[in-house]
Amino acid sequence: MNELEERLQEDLAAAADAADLDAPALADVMRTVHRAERHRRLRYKVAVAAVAVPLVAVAVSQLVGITVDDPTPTADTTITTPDPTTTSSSTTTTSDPTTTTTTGSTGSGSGSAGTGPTGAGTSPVVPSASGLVLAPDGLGDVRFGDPEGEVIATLSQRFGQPVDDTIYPYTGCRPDEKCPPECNSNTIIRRVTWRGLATWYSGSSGDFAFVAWSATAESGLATGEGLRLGDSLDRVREVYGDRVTVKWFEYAPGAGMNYVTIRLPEGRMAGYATKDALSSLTSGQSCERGD
Amino acid sequence: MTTMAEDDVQGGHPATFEELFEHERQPMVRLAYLITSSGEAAEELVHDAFVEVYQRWDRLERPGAYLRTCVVNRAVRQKRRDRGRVVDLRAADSSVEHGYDHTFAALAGLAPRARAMVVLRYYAAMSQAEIAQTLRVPIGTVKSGLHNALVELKKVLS
Repeated sequence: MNELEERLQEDLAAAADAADLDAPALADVMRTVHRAERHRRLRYKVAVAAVAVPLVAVAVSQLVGITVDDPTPTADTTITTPDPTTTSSSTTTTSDPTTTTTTGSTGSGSGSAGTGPTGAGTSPVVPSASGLVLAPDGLGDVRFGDPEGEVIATLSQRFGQPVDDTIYPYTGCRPDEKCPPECNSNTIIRRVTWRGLATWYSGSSGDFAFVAWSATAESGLATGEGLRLGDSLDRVREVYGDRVTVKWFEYAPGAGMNYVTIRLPEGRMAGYATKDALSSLTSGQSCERGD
Repeated sequence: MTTMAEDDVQGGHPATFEELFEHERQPMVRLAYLITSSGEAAEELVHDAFVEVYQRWDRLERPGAYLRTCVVNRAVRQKRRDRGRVVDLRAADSSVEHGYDHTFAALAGLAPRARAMVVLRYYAAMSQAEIAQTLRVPIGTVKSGLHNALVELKKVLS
């Protein structure tokens, strides 16, 4: 070893000795480990839920005859929402910090759900709940684009406390579907459900607007033309004439359901009919497909 | 300096993470400091390295060696991020108070990976093969890197 190498050995050791160095504490390291582990588990739960919920919903629908998915997506079909009664229990499994789930809350109707992005804190002017009808552009007195607080307050007047209120990030479209261009990684989705009615609110900056609904007969709602969920297909044709199309969708050999589309000047509603009765309707535009 | 990380290279294995932590936390901070010149950065990156080792503990055959690799590579990356700052080696003379200050200042003029090689060779007393393993580079790269670094340091320190 030459002189330079000896000098390096001595001086590096001296420099390290002379430095006033703090070593990390084991407690700090373990805190970071546990925090990372929590995040890892949450990411796993979210990923599992994203895969499992639609699968469970489809499976349940096939068992009990409740429709959950659009079998024939078209270019202008940007929402396919699930029956809220088939998914509410599954969606409460995640506790992702970006996903907030409350059950039986939002009593004030202000649109607040946990710590997630919500509407303004001021008391909304609540439209009348008596004018609620199933419509292509909303639910009668509440229309798509209305602030979440107003819509939730109105619906709570009619249906009482929501049975589920969940905020979750947009997780991307399926490879085989068309997605609206406004759906991106900044999109946050809120789903509020009552018995027989699911509603979706969306936005990127916390100003959520009403964007979609899905209803079953349990909601007791009817269309503006007087059609009720649970009515027969003949009744659907009687009310809407040539504005309704019915296509048979066979999801398993010998098992299937009718896919119903009602086209109105304001837009369209789509739904399913099992056993010759209209069992669900949905309308609106949502980034998420039912999870 | 004998650390558990070196024992690892020779086939040793600490019984628990806590044991590794207790033996290695000071030596690893010193090692990181000599590469980064920053005590704060050294503490932070050693903290992160221990987190990584903990998360992989069950899969590591030689956790001490893995820890050292994590620390050195994180320190090299840290140093590369700081490379915008130009160090005038000869200007360091003005603030010299101790003999090692001059050497430490000269070290700061080396490229991050070359600096790590010098620190591992002359502070951690590692062989060229061990340095190559730690930095995940061919041994020839270590030989040439050390040679060039010594030439550079000799010019500055003479």
